[in-house]
Amino acid sequence: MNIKIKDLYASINGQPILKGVDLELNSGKVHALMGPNGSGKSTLSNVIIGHPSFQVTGGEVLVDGENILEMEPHERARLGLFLAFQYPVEVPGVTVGRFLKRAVDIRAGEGNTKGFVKKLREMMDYMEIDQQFINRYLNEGFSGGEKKRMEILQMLMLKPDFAILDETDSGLDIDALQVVAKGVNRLREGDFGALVITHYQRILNHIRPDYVHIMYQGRIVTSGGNELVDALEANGYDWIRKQYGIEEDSDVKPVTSG
Amino acid sequence: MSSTETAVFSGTQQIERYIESLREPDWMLAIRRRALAAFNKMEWPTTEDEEWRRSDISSYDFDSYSFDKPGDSAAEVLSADGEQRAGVARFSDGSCSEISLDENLARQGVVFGSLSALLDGRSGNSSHEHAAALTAVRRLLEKRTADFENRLFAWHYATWNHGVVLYVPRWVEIKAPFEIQFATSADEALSAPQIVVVMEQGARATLLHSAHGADEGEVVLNEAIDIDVADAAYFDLFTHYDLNIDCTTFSNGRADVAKDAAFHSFVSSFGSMFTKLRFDAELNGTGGDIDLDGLYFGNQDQHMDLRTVQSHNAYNANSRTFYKGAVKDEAHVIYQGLIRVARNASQTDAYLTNNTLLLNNGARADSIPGLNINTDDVKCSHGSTTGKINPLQLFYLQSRGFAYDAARIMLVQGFLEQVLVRAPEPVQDWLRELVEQRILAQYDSDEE
Repeated sequence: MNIKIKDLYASINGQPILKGVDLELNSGKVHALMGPNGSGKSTLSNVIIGHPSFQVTGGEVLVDGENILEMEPHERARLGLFLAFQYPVEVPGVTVGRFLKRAVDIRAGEGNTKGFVKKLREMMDYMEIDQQFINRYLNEGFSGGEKKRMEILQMLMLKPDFAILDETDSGLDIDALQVVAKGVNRLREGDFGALVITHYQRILNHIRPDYVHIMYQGRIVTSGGNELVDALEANGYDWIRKQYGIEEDSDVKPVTSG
Repeated sequence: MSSTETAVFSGTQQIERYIESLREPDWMLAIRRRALAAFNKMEWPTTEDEEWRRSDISSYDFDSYSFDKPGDSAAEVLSADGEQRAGVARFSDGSCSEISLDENLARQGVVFGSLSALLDGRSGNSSHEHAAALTAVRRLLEKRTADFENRLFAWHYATWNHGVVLYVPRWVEIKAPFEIQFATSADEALSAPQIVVVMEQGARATLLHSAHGADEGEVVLNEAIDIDVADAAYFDLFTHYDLNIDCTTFSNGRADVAKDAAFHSFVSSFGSMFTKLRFDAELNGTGGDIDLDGLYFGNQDQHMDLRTVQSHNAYNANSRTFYKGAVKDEAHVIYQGLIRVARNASQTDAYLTNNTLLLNNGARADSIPGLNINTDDVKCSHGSTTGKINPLQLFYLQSRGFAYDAARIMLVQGFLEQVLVRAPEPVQDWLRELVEQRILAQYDSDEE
């Protein structure tokens, strides 16, 4: 899968967040997207999947040449896109087991889900999630770490072509972080691609990216390899600002995307 | 007080003739006559009465509904799970079409059958158990009819025309559920069923009850359910109302719960154009426990008014009400819940929750929880929410590949599932199907 983001502008409640994003992503590769709070990383991921709260005001997102911005979120999912939410949503009354069975039915086509329960149990073991969670309501009463693992479990079951992980590392202790990284790395053989969005370099020690992109004030300011992570680690985001001659922008406030 | 208009209710003579025709013990006839006298003195509830403020029955011409009108169908709904029943009682338009009771239970003194048969001695059974059941039924009904709270109660006790008694002796524990079905198919008919349940000390039983009918025919159901749960007994009641859209459903349930006893009721409301259900549960002994659950799903232009009262009259008892439902099309649902704590009922632990999901703009819901607390040292709370489907939940499911409609269905099912899982296990899947059918049902508001 090839994703081309061209000159993308988006806003929420009239406040512009994305201001001309250009980015190309490919399955088979892991991309990291780094940037300070409020730079538009989460907005970008939500706009790609079709969050209704964001308004696209310009540009396009092409998946294998086709503009997906007019598509419903479920149509984008069926293309093979997946978003691991920064804040996974609680769905009371719907059990993990029932939800995943239906979602896998949709993804694989009904009748192609033979061995679903066995596979689910295996993946839960792999993600170190207690089997009792099969009968729990989705995300309801889960801890932050349990919610993040549940996102990765869904990803392992749905096997998307390209996954966006929106700050999946935030709030995780080192053990949970390693489990989450293990889940992503499991899919890495083959054609799977991912965009790992993070504020910190820590998760990138466990999921080594092929490419690194830096976002600042609603734009991608530079792209490169792992050396960018090291430079950021050493010099902080101020270095990016100075390096790329970015003015302090008093407009930019941290945005929560929900 | 009384007015001349209500006193000349044309049904009065019909009711009098009906009472004269019955072969019932004097005490029962006395109850009926007292009820009729009260009926003649009272007026129908109006929107001036707090409980009826949102449910206007002024346009009804109750005179025009005759009772004892024969019909011809008896649909089966509840037995779908194919599981064993301790006993089954089916009535079609007031006539008993089936009565059965597990022989082992009969030997243990359990009485289950037609209330009329018990009262007129038709069963031919003069055993000790029948005598005990009769005494208990009399005690309970006389207590219930000491005064009549409104004209519908009085109307019911004067006119009840079929019914079921369940009597479980001391320490008899019954696993398989009993089942009662009241089916109606007549037109312009009054159906006034009476259920009496007496659980003696330590007894344990479950009852599944449904009132439903043919697709057509205008019926007014005016039901009463009277329950006595003695010390350390446990009773689980499931009631389901699903009459057709031309019908009217009134049901008044009351349960007295004694020391260390437990009562669980699950009400499921789907049918009728106009529904007014009420369940009053009273904790009269220390350590008693009440759970009142409700599931409702209004559609088309249905009007449903559901009321629960959890009354604490004793020290250290618990009660919990959980009513949850969905409303779509142009339906209007009202939930009224009251926690009442008497002066001597300290250490009370009571709460009530009501959550309603509105599926579209024309649907309406009112939630009116109330507390009436007359002592200190209690834990009482209530909470209610009325809202629409959460767009973030919708987006989350869509992002996993669920189309908009499928995601909505899953969210509504999930919302109702939280109360549905509290229904007796044998009816859960059957309820899930009804929920799904109702979510999918189309509505054309211009349709006549």
